[in-house]
Amino acid sequence: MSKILGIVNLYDSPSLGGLTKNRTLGSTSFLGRYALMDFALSNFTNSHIDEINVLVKDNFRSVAKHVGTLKTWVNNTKIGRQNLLINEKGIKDPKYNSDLNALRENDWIFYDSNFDYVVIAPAHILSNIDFNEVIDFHKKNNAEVTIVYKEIEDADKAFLTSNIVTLDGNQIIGYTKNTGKVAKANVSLRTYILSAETFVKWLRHRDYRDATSLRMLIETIIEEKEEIITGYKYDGYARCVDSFEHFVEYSFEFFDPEIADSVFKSEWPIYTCTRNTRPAIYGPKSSVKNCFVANGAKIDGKVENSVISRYVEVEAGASVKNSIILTKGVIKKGAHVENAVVDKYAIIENDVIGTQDEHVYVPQGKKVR
Amino acid sequence: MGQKIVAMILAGGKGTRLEALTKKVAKPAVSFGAKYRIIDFPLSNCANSHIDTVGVLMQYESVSLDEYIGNGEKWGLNGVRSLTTTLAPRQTEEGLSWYKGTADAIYANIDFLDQCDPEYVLILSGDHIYSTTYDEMLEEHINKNAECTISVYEVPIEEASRFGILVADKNGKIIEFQEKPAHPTSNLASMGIYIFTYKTLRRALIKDAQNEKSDHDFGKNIIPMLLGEGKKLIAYKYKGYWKDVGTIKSLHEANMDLISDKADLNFDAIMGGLKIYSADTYAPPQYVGRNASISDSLITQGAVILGKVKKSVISDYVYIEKGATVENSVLMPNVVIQKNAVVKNAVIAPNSIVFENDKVVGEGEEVVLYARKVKAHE
Repeated sequence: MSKILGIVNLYDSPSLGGLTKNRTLGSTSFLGRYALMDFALSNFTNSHIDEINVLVKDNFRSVAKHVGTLKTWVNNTKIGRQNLLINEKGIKDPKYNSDLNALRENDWIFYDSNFDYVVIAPAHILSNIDFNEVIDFHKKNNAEVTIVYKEIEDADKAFLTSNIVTLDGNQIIGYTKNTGKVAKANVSLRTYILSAETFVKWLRHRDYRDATSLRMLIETIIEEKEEIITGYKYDGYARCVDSFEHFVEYSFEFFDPEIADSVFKSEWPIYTCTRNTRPAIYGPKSSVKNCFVANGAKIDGKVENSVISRYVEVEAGASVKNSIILTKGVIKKGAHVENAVVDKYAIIENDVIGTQDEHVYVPQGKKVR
Repeated sequence: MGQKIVAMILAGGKGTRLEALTKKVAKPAVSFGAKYRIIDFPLSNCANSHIDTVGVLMQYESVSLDEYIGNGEKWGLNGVRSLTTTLAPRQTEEGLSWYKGTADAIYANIDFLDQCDPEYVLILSGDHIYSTTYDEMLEEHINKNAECTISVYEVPIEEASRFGILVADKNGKIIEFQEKPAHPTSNLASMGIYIFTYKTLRRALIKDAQNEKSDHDFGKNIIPMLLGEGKKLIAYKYKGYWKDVGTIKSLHEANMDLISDKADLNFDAIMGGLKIYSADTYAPPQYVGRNASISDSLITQGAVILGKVKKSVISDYVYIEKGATVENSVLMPNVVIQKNAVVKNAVIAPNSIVFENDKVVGEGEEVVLYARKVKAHE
């Protein structure tokens, strides 16, 4: 059995405005119960990858709070291992703080581990990729790098921060940034499978010193056309959470059972850190329709088409519509929240109303009177 | 130095009165309060009391219970100073013998206790619903220099004849024990929760084991024996919610207490500011459908509610289809309520299916237990 090193890459993820002001996109709450990075981490766990690493760019506190010792995602803690990889130099010098430099700074993982392949996946692209299948494909093609891509019909609106893959058979011959000009395209899921030896060689290669990011390195190597870079076509669920609007849209589309069922499969659980939260309590006056409700919530008001996270309280006489309320938000009696994203610990005593096209954002801890 | 206190949880009973619920699982492993199992309560209480060493005594259907307890990690009882172990009857040089009674179960594991070398031993039952710490009880045991402290619950005097009743003087010293007395002279019911000074317990267990006429039961034999010897036994009055869930009716009632609208009886009041720990199922968040209606209920993750739910407790992965109605009921994990079915005053066993248009209804005060995966005529 091949030994695989999994790395969740928290670099290179787009900003979601206020939501990602004090947290990395990977630790941003999703569907009331998850952090976005749970999807990538769980794909590793479900693909039987023993060594799991998280490449942390910044907001270390919020990452550490969510992943803890990463034990949630490691199956056997003796044969497996888990690391938070921090670029200490990069934190002091933001210009230097790139994923490629972070990997160079943490090259001890390559000395310490005797592995055959590295899988690098971003935290903000949600999918349920089975890496065993990708690695089989990678081996069969004798590839140096395999990039996972998906054919989509709306590349002019989605995956705008990603790359478009041009193929000749399985071989990738072009890897250009998605400028949003075409709708139907093969978009990169920015998920790379590399043979370990090659990867270590590249990290240290003199010619690649100028490459400042992993993406740039891959683009350079594809341009040189000297290596076998294959594209693996993935057909399952994939979304790139690259803007505040997409965050809202991709949350709400889970109300469609077809989407929900394609992600929540019993053989492919999404693991997350749990805190022994009690079940949700529905009061005598509660009216809840078309919602995801996390444990810990207490609802006695009216809630419709919304995502209610852990320990959120919606009092009797309050109403919430088309909104996402993050952990421990309180919607007080008489307040009406519509088309809004309410960040953690916010207290809403008065109406907060956005539009269907433009959801309002209420910052963490804010009291709306 | 030995341990200060070791907890021993008696979890070997079959729980015959829970009928189909305990056909394949031990009573302490029965589902409760949407996301918990009954034994989560004493185990979490131990954790919240900073008790590090816990032995769980099991006998009936021990495999699944053993699997659930594991190394105690679910309750945080696997830390550097902690030990959680399951103790099922075992074969020894003397042969193989089942636990003959609650006292015999502890006696059979006296080597385990000797190894722990505790000052005190806390004896708990695996089938009580209550959230507390044992700190105050232990403090009282130590301060009053008792050899055994028994936790007691004040019951209405007219119900006292259903319990083991303790008569105590004004200082709490127990002067008499009455097992299900016809004419009770006290309303202090024994909860089956004891703190013993280990030396006293050890000696008593050995003495009791030699008595062939004994049933080797704490309530029936050990306590009367110690009283007869003039030992100092103390009654500790337990305040707060406590329920023995020995029957379908009481199990249903305890679940309903969690969602009661009374100020002093609801989920938060029952938990008393403490957390009960349990296994996680890694289920997705619960989904409530467009035509659903929910009130006065406790619902956990993984549930999908498309129908009507009122005054009910809904566990993991329960699926309630459109047009179905659930009222005043307890739905255990993986239950499916099909279209237009009606469930009222019921306990639905795990993995059951209530079929389309079927009715599972307890009339009046009656609570029905339903456990079925195939249609009646199939």
